[in-house]
Amino acid sequence: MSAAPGRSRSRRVRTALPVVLVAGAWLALAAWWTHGFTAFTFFSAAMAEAGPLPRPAPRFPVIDQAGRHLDLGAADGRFRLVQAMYVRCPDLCPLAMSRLQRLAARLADVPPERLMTVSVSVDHDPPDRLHTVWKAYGAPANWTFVTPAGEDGDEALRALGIGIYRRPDGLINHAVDIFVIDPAGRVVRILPADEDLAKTAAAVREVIG
Amino acid sequence: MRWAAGVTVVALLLALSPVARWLVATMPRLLLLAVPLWFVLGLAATAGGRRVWERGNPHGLTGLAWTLGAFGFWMIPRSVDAVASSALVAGLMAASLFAAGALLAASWRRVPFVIRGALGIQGAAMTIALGFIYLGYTALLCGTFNLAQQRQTGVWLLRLAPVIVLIVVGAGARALHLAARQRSRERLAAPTA
Repeated sequence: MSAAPGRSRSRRVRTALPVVLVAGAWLALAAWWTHGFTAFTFFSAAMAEAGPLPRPAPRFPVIDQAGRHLDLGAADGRFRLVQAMYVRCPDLCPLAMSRLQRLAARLADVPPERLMTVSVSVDHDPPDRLHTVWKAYGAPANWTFVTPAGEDGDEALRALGIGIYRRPDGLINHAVDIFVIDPAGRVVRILPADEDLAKTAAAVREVIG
Repeated sequence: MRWAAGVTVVALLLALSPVARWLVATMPRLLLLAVPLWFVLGLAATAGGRRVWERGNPHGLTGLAWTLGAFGFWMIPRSVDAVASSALVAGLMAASLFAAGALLAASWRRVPFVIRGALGIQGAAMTIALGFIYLGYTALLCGTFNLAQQRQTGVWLLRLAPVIVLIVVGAGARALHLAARQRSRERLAAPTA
């Protein structure tokens, strides 16, 4: 008599098992693929794959619009706001660049020795072209335009956490979030591209102290 | 059986042809043609045989879990990117959605009416919500495509939404009508005291 409820429970478990296994397998796959349900896009996955914050910025040799060689990942004693840019972009970059220009203007009271805004060309634009674009944006003293110095620019961008995809039609898609690198050369914060500008400026001031 | 094999062969030939790459080359094609196509082919493969999957499929929930899991996974923007940039992943998507259609067709009649209704309403609501997201989002959700394709996908999802709502409402009304007719038949057939 007492075995009947146990048998019934075991039958229920056996019946439900395939449903649980199938649902569980899809959930596990989705959890792995989205880094624990935190990264649903190609861009957020690139950020997650670069590692948790704070993390050391990768070595990233670049050349600025004046032809000077710099290393974006170096511990050079100043904060850097780094954003990828694509000068020929027909989509979002002009908006992102205009937003960065307004952010740099809001932070113009912070000396460039303390904080530098940096736009990194994903298209490896030569310094003279960067200089032209920089002048078109008003040649601000606290905003630098740079291009990767080596062949492995995409790799350095990815190591920083910036997702980049070279489309078959020749155009380039990339993340437009702003990466904050501290004076010790660590990525300490990522500021979303679609955040209210006042909030972004306040977040930068909070980070730089 | 012959019908199911025929549809499976057609799906396989389609998956191996250049059409498969064409189907995933743009965002509207991938989400509005490729995804429904593989699913409908799967539905067609099983629906033609009128088979019902019973063992290991209580109330049709195993088939339903596979279908929801497959759709949920392939709707993740990162998955859409992977499909567009890898033939192997595109093949996996085609196979899993074909299986989803086949399993759902073999399970649907066993799924309780309330769950079927809730899924239909949820599907229509998700189509509208996704349409608005793709249309209004100002950043790229899928890194492989461009903003124009994202908006175009949103527009088409919103155009399709009323059709899906009509199908859901029509199917619900039909099911309720059939149930009511069945009840009235049973009442008439029951012996009176």
